[in-house]
Amino acid sequence: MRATHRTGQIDRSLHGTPRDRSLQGTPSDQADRRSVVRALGPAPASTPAALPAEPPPHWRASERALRLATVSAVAGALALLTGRSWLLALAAGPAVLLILAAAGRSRPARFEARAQIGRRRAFEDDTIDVRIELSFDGVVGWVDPGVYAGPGIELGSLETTGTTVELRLTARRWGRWSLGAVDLDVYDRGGLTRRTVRVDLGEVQIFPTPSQSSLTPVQVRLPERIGEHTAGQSGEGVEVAGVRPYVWGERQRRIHWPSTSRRGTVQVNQFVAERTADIVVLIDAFGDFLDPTDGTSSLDETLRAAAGITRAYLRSHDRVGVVSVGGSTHWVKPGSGAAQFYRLVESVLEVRRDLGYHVPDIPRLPRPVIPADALVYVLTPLGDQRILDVLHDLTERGNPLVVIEVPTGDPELDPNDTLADLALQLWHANCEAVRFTLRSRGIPVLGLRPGEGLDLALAPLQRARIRGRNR
Amino acid sequence: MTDQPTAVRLARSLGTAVAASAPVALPEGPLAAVLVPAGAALAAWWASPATVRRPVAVTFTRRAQLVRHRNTALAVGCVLLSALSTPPIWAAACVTALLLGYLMCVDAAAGPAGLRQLRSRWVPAAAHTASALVLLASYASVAPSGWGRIIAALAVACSAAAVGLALWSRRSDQG
Repeated sequence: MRATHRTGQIDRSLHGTPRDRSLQGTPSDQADRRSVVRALGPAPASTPAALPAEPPPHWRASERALRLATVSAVAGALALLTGRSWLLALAAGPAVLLILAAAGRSRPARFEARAQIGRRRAFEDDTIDVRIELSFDGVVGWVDPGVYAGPGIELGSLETTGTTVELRLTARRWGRWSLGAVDLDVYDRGGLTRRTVRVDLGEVQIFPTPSQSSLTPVQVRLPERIGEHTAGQSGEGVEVAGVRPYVWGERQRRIHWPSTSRRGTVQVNQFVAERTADIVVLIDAFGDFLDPTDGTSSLDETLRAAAGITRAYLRSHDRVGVVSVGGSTHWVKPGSGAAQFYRLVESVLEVRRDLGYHVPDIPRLPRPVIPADALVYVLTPLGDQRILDVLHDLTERGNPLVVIEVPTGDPELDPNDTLADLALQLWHANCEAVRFTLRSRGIPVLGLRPGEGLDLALAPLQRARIRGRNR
Repeated sequence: MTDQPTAVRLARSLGTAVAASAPVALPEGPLAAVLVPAGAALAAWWASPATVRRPVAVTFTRRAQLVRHRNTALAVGCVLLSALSTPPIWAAACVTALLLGYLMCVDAAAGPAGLRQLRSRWVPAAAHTASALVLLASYASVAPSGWGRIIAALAVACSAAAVGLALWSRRSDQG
């Protein structure tokens, strides 16, 4: 019998050769895939496995112990019942295996598991490294991890080295998700009993991956703050707007000598002012439409496009704010800087949580939410009538508006329904009528197309500056 | 040296073999000679591959339970088939050795503890020796008496007590 150890250790004799260890998870692809499949359990890969009930806080018989004991007991009982004594030979072997595996007094009584999460904030498709260290006060045979990943989280790889389990998780969808939990099945030396230690991995914030965008179209009227966009009026920028007669006191280096010699009086260069822009991205969260062809979520695309627009304008040192309308209205006042980007994407994580069937009527947006003359990008699938009311409110205020229509795909048609084609045509006509109404009010309506960049959608805005309604 | 994938592959062969040989001494007849061994072998072909998944129950339907414990069900089924007849000693020895080998292969595929036992020199030898001794004793000719079954029951009870004590000593250690 082995004496109880003060510090936990794993029985190295159970992991004798490197080939054995590969089965627990080493860099080899095949072994890694096998360990991932085993850790995920029998649930289909497409759906996250439901977290089972809290494991019992005591040792319980393993499958191996149950198997050997059952065979031995059934063979012994049948020998006695039927009088065929040779059946006792079938019982003897498993019984000996049980006795030999049961030798020892080394099972731990206390466990402690610590999880280290690489990062709690990440973007879509980023990997999150998790390291779990198990400590105990005895000797265990092996540690068998089971992973119950949270929604939107995928298990990429798993490596078990002694009592340390390292996971590599990948976040597939933006949102505030639970990372899930890991059940560590700890077996005794003989593999006859096991105990489960559950480790909760906590929550992570997954930000939407910004769409690639570099264009920053601006409105006609820009606020009186120095920035990077050329304004309509003259100022202290670097772009030459023309020449004008010299006024006493002006810098001599601005004299435009060709014009001076041609006109006979001193002429100086005239520059245009460079101003910053106020941008507000308005997110339509009245609903989430899934494209029937590829299952793309309109809300996901909306958030990615919003993040792309936000990042492009913040790079130009503009002030950007976000408003989401849906179950409830959230907003972040316009600001600039790298930190503002994270404030904005963090604020939109609540959008999905607010989705529901009961959506209250949206009152008028509060005045401070959208500064005067701010350019408002409205990202919407145009699938809900209430967004038109919001657009009407914004038009009344005189803010320059750009509507970016997020694609939702055509609804699936029932081949047996003779009126389906007609209904689809009516639906298309209704969508076109909505677009026509908006354009007739002077609001440009741009369309995002699947697989195309955001710049391509915004390109028509580069022709001229965006005008708001005159007040 | 036996490794885990080899044990997984061996388990199906051994399981099918033990299921086919278990009803070897059934009374003569087409049913016993062909159909029962063939049916047992077919069932064993499905049930014998070692379960390598984590022992977590997703559903508690009977079918799911059977799939999860199919290795145990196969071994118990073989014992039940064997209990229908008293085969000659060589056939009994084959069934005993095959069943023990199958159980050890399944254990080796399930985790390092079983793999260590399979690789050990003396654990398989001890198990097979114990089975052989019991088998030889069971086939030894003794004068028929009414005390035979009682003595056998006492022996089984003593063995079960030994197994229980071995397991209990570990369990009591944990409190």
